Amino acid sequence: MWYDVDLSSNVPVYQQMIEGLKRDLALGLVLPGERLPSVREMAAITALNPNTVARAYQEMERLGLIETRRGRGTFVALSPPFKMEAAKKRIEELVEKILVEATNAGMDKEELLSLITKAIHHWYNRKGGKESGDGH
Amino acid sequence: MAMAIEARGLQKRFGQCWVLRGLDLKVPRGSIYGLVGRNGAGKTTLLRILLGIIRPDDGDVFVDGVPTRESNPEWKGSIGYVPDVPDVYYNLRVSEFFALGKRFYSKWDEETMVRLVGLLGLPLKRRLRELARGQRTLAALVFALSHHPSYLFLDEPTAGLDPLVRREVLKLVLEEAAEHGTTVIYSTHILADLERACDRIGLLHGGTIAVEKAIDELKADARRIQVVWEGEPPEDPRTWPEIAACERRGRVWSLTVTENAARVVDKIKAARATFFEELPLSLEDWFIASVGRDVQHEKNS
Repeated sequence: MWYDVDLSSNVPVYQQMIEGLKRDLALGLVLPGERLPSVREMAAITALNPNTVARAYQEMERLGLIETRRGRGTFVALSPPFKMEAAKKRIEELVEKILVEATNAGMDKEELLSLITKAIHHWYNRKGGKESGDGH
Repeated sequence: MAMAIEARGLQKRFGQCWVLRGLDLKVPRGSIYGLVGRNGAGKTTLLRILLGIIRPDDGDVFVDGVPTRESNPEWKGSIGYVPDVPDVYYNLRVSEFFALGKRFYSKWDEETMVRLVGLLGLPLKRRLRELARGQRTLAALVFALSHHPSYLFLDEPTAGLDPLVRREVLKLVLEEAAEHGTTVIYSTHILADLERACDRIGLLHGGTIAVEKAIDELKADARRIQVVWEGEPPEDPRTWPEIAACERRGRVWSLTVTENAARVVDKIKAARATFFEELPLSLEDWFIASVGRDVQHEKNS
């Protein structure tokens, strides 16, 4: 589940929750408009500190990932705020980091490509084969 | 803003034995505060002083900025307490114990009591003395949660409980805190529970709160760092003030840092290590490193 966190990690728990929600949203495991447990429910489900959960929710809301509808609860945003242009720039930066790692490890172009292709296949298999993004 | 609970300069001794030596403590409102320390460090004594069950030899306790030295029924009525050895009301049946709570507390919530008794499977007709220790603790917990206290003091509430019930207890406490904004002081040796549940940690050591910080901050400051130097390190890491513990196996030095991890990393980079990696430190590792250093000093001196 997106709210499973690694307590031994140095990454703060609220950040792990945000990353987790982003990942499950990308995988289609969480859907836009879906209702999320309240802070209280989430604290009980995960046995995590309620202030930490509240902080994760506040940050998600600020990022536009979730929406609180008064008196009705917390929902995954209907149109999550991922902008193609901004995403492209971030992805380029991440790819460069991968290239640095691979080059330093002595990996050649073909090896790196096959590794990335494998990862992409694995990802879309997890998504259950529905390759959204091909449609439009 | 006044702290929910604050202690200043608490001193307490039993005979010749000093337990608290000028202890300061600050618990913000709505915080879940994990109190850790070795056996005999004085955790129970501290809780009992905060609760007003025993008097300190010196120093004061403040609740919302108001000293609690004078008897204060309003404060007493807003406290929930699960003692480490729940031996009072020994001869009462569980149901009679709860009936007592209903008479004492204006905020008593019968519905919550019934729900929790069902959830935890407490035998209402049995006498408290007939219950196992863990079950007596659960009875005390149900009692405490059923009057929705503003301040909840838990003294090793999960000692003697199986892992399933332990997790259930943790969830009940967190649920209560999330719903009512309860300020919780939670003393336990089960540090994995605190790692989940707490936002602040206080380490009781040497008669004072030796370390008190937010758990995110604590994690950001602490690290285990593995280093390999070509030949000998330029400066013996054992003499670095930031290093809480230091071990060497072959070429690999394992440094445990509880403060200023970033500075130590800079130092290692400047000292031209051929390899180093940073690993996270669990709360348990942190505790062992923080307290163990003094144990080492005591042995050496």
